[in-house]
Amino acid sequence: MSVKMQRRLFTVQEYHLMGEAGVFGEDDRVELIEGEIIEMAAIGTRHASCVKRLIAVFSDLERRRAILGVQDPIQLSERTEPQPDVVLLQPRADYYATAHPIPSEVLLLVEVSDSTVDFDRNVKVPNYARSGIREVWLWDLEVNCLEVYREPIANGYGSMQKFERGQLVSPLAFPEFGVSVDLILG
Amino acid sequence: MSVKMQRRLFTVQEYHLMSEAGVFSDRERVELIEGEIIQMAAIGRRHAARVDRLAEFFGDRVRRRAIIRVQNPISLGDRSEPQPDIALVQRRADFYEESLPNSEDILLLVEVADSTVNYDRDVKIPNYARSGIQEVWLWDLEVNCLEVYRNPTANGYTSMQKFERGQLVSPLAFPEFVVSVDLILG
Repeated sequence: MSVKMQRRLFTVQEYHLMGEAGVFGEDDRVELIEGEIIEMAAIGTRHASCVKRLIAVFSDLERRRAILGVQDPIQLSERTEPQPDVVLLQPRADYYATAHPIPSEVLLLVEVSDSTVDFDRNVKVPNYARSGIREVWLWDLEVNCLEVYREPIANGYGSMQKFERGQLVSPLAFPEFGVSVDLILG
Repeated sequence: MSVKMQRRLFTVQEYHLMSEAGVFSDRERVELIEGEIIQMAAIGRRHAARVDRLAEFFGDRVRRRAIIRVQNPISLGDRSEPQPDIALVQRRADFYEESLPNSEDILLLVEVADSTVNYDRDVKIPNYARSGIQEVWLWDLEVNCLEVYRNPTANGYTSMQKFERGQLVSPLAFPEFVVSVDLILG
């Protein structure tokens, strides 16, 4: 019986050891997804401008209600440490100086996708659900719409709703805080 | 346009950094093959016995004319550091302590395959050809035959010959060594 070769998968601890040992250079943009070290796609201008718009909008949320993180690591499990585009986090006095945020501390997670939307939707979003992240917004820049995922369960999110231009959407954590889809899509 | 995820591939230098940083445990067996870190299959009794038979055969005849390396690393360029089952390498006074053998030093490379024969044939052997290793023997223990690869090119070995029970084969480097296929296939 022939078997496929096994790639060596890595834990978060090993991934950090590699970082400290200088395996990754300044230009390396990598994430750890289910034990595999993945190169993040280069950031195009539309993607970057969307993230800037999200920052501008969420900056209106008071500091005592959420901490805004942009492309920083969060630790989902022993083998997964992604760097989502934007997260709203539970406020913490140390601003997460001692440990990366874990799923229960993530109030809202936002991914902006252009060329990577299939990977984001089929791999990243289910991963987020499995770790219990309560809400994920996936901005699909190819078709210009927003997918909002809620009700995390073992196999994925129980609920997905699409939003288009002209609509307003609010995070579960801040139901009074309306975000205009047009404002983010530009 | 959607893209597949890009695994971060590693160079030999990064692989060594990881090893020195303690990413791999002492009991792990890994190889670097074209930038990917692969777990080597556990060595079964049959595999071990056949490798030892070959090592003894060559040991009796090679004397000091070459060095016999058993499951030790060889260097194939910037992204590969495999550990072939047996390599007959050019004699060197330091026994390659200063630097690993490269393709020019290798007189004959031998892989013994039970469960990994597809990977060996489809990935490892073309890699060996690209690096210019002059001759590779692949012992397929599942179907009981020997495949002999010669004439390395960038696209693989142009010559492959099968040998079965009852037949005799000699390495290019040592045409006077007559190996009986029965001796190894048992």
